[in-house]
Amino acid sequence: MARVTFPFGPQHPVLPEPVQLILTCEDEKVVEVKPRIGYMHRGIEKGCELNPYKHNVFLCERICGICSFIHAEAYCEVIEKAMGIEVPPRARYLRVFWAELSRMHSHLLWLGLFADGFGLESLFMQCWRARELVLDVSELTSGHRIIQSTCVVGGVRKDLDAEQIRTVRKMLKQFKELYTPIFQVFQHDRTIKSRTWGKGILPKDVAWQLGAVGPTIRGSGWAFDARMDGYAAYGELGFEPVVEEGCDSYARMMVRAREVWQSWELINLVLDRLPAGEINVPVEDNPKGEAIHRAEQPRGEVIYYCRGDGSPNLKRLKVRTPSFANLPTLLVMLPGCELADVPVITLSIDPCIACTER
Amino acid sequence: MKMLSVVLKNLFSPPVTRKYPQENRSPFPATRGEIVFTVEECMTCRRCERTCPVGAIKVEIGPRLEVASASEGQTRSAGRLIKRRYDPYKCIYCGLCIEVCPQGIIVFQGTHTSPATRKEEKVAVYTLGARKPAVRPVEEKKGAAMN
Repeated sequence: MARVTFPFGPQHPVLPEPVQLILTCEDEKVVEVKPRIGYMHRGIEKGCELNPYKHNVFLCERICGICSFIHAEAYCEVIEKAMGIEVPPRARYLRVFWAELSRMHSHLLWLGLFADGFGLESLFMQCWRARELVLDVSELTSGHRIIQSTCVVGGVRKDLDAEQIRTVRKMLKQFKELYTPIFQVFQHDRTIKSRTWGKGILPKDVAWQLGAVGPTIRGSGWAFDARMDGYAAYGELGFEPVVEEGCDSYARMMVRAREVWQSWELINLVLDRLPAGEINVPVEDNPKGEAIHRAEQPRGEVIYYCRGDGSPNLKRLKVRTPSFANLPTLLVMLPGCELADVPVITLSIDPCIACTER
Repeated sequence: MKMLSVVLKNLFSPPVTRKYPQENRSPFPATRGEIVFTVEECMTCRRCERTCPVGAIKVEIGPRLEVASASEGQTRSAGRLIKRRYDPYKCIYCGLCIEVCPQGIIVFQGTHTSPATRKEEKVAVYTLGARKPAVRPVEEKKGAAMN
């Protein structure tokens, strides 16, 4: 059988961001794949060395437009580790609140795109309709739908008052009514199962060897989640990761669909247990020494490393993002699949190229 | 039969979405909208300029303005000319300038703005009030030129 090699991307209807897959096919079967990145490098790590470290919060928040708050949170936590700053308990709970809101809207965005990827446009609209409610909660509490800008070194900048908490609870109830039927469709619909079940198999041992993270590795049966470390307030909230054993696109989809519920529960828990007190501590010094921090983004584990010498500017900031760790898994998932399944399998790792290339 | 009832229901029910742009959702009170400066009350401490993480605010302090005094050969200070430049396209609407302003003259105007037709910065020129009279005579007036 003659082999045909052709590019999939970087501009393709199912790809929200530019990544190229060079596919080699025999008839309709994919036999080889080579991912190629490098279309949107912005030099953010270098930029962080040129700004004062307090200003970098806003730059790190813009590494990714979807998991923005968690980037800012991870940056603040790594600086706080380097400087030995103790963040007040209320600030830690509020960080969980906004981080889980980010996860909810990121997963709902992805569920919609995934539904669109296998042709269910109506489901795509339903997901994004539910997402609007989450974005409204974000705007109500932080002033912005996506870029919350509420995290600072030493705590958070905004607080929740009793009136806001009441409104958020009401909106979360509305969200439950909206998302319940959507979740059932993802869980039981025959069309979705026929497009995702058994597609893009990532065996459990291979997922570990390739260093996959986030829903990609949790869909292959590993309870691997940075939130298990108990950073921010996750340790006090009794966090348990969502794990699926299927190792296929359906399992990865279900991890995300179930994590929306998990985030919903965590937000309710934060509102129930929100401790009183200060929301930040004054920070006057400059970071000296080095520190490393792991945080869990919607796509998986992000690692922040910083090194400072006591001056306002950092000497080095290094970010290892989850999509960079997940891209090699496509080399295992795609060979052997049908060409028509390539969009679904590629989307199943939720590739975020803005994060990957920074 | 079930499908028919759904079709009929959808046929006679109103649309779920708003008729944008005729019908807008009112923003939440904390919405970070357009930034507005009341420059007449500004004491030019320049904290907003120093705090802005993207350098969207620039305050240029011009030369001292002087007017002839009643006494012969002397002048008195008529303040300084201040030019405040604000670039809304550089601004990331983080609100740090609002937090640090000691006079509270910078506020978010919690409304959704229409798209701009031209990309230009907003410049406000004002005089920072006259202080004490100048003691030495000034030979040449520099006028309103900025540094």
